[in-house]
Amino acid sequence: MGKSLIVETLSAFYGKQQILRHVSMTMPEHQVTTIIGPSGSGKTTFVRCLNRLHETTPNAHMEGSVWLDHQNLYELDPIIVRRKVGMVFQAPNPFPTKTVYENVAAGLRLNGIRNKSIISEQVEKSLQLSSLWNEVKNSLHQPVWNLTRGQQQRLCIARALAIEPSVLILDEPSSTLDPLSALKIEELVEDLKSSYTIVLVTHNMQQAARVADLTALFLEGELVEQGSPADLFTRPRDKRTEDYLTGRFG
Amino acid sequence: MNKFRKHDSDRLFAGALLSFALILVLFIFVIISVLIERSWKSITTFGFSFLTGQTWNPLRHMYGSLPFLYGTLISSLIGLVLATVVGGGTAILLTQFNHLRFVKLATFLLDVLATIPSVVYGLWGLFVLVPWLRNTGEPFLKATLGFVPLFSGQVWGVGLLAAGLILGIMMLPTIISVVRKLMDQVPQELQDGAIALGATRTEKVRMVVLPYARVGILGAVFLSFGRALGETIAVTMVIGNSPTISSSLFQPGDSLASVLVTQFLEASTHLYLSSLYEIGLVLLIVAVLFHSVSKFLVWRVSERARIA
Repeated sequence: MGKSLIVETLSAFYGKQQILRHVSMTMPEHQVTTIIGPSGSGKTTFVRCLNRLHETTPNAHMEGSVWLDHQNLYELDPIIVRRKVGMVFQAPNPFPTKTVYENVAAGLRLNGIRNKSIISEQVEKSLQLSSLWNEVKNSLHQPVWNLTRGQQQRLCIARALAIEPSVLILDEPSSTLDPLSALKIEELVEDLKSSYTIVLVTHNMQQAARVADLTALFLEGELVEQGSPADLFTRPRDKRTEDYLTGRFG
Repeated sequence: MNKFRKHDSDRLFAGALLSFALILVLFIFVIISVLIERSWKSITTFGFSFLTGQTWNPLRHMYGSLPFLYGTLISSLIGLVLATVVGGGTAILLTQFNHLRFVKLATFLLDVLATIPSVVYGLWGLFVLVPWLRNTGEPFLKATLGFVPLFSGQVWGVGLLAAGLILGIMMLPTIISVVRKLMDQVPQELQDGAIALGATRTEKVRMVVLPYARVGILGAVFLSFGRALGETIAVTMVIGNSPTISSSLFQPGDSLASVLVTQFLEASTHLYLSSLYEIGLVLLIVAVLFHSVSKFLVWRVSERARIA
C-alpha cells in the first residue's frame, strides 16, 4: 500500500507571509520520516501541504509539487488526495457526536460504501491495526467520550487507516498525551511502517531518534538537513543543525 | 477600622442591588396579579370554555379565544419554518462557503434588517407582500398544491400565510446571527478532521458542523418562536383580523397580540374588557410555557450530550 512521497520545491504562504521556502525531499515507502524543528519552523504547514489541507485555510496558498505514485497531487482532486494521504492531528479530534464505530466508519461512508458487512470488517481491521480493538470491542456503539485521550488518539489513527491510505501523516500525535499513551502511539508507528509511508512530526528528538528511518530538520521554513537519525544527531553537516541540537537555536 | 468600613460599604451596595432585584420580582408579581384580577370576570363567566370556544362575538357577548390561539401558533410556526430553513441555510453559506466581500455585505444588510421597526415590516407586508400573494403567490400555490387543504379555498392576500411570511422575515436576522455564531464555534480541528478524511465542504457541514451546533440551533429556533408569538403590529397589519379558524393558510385569521391591540379601544362592556385581559393572560401563559418547554428541551439535549 505504501508509496514514496516526493516533494519538489514546495513553498507555502499565508497571505503574503512565506511559511515554507523551496522544500524538496523524499519520504520513502515503508519508512518513518520524522520532521523535527522548533515551533513556528513550518513543520505543520509542511505536512498540511502533503494532503492539501493547507489550501483550505483562508488566504493560504502554495507553490511547487508533491508526487505520489507518479501523480502530482496538486493536479488531482483534493478530495481524492486526502483519501490517499491520511492524517492524524496533534490533539485527538474524534467526531464528538458519533460513536466509536461511526468514527471509524466515517471515511468509508464518505467513500460511498454502504455494505454493512464490508464496513464492519473494515472497522474491526482498522481498530486492530491501531491496537484499540481489544479495548473497545465491547463498547463500539458507545460515545467517544468514554475513551481516554490516548484511546481517542488511537481511534483517530484507526479512522485514518480505515480508508486505506498510502501515506499516513501524524502531526505531533503524542504531544498532548500522557507518557504511557505516547509510548503506545510510538509503538504503533513502528508496527504500521511495514504497510504505509509514514510522516511523523515531532517536538521530541528522542522520539525522532527512536522511530525514524529518516529525519528532516526544519528551521524558519527551510529544510536545513535530512538524513538517518544516527547521522543527523551525531554528525550534523550543517552548522544550524548543530546549533539546534545543542540548544543554541529555537 | 479600614476593614470595617469596607465591609459596611459592601453591605450597603449589596443591599441596594437586592432592592433593585426585589423591584423586578415585585414588578412581575404586579403584572400577573393585575392580569388575573382584571380578567377575573371573564374567567368566572366562561371558565375553560374561554380557551376552547371558537366564537368571538362581542355583540352577542360570546368570547372564545381559540381562533386567536390558533392564529398565533400557526402564523408563528410558518415563520419559524421559513426562518429556520432560509436562516440556517444563509448561516451555513456565510460560515462555510465564505467569500469575504460577500460576507461583509451580508453582515451589513442583516444589521439593517434587524433594525427595521416592525411597523415598517407591516407596511411593506400590507402594500407589497399582500398584493403579491393575492395576485401571484397564492394562486400559484393553489394551482400546484391545491389538493392540500392548507393551500385551498379563496385567495385573499391578507391572512395566516402573509402573517407567517412577515414573521419569518422578521426572525431571519436573529436566527442567522445566532446560528452563525454557533457554527463559528465548531472547533477547527474537528472540521479539519473531516476534511482530512476526504469530506467535501457539504459533507463536512453534515457530518461535523451541524451535529456539533444542533443544541444551540434548537435554542435559537425556540427563542425566535417565543418572539414570534408576541409580535404584534406587523402581524395585525397583514393577518386579516378575523376571528375564524380555517384549515386554509390563505384565509384571514387573528392572533392573541393582534386582537388585543385592535379591540382594546372598542371594549365597551366590563365583560368585553375582562375577556381582552384574559387574552393577555393567555398570551403570557403561552409565552412562559413555551419558554419553559424550550429551556427544558435544550437542557435535556445538552445534558444528554454532556453525559455522552
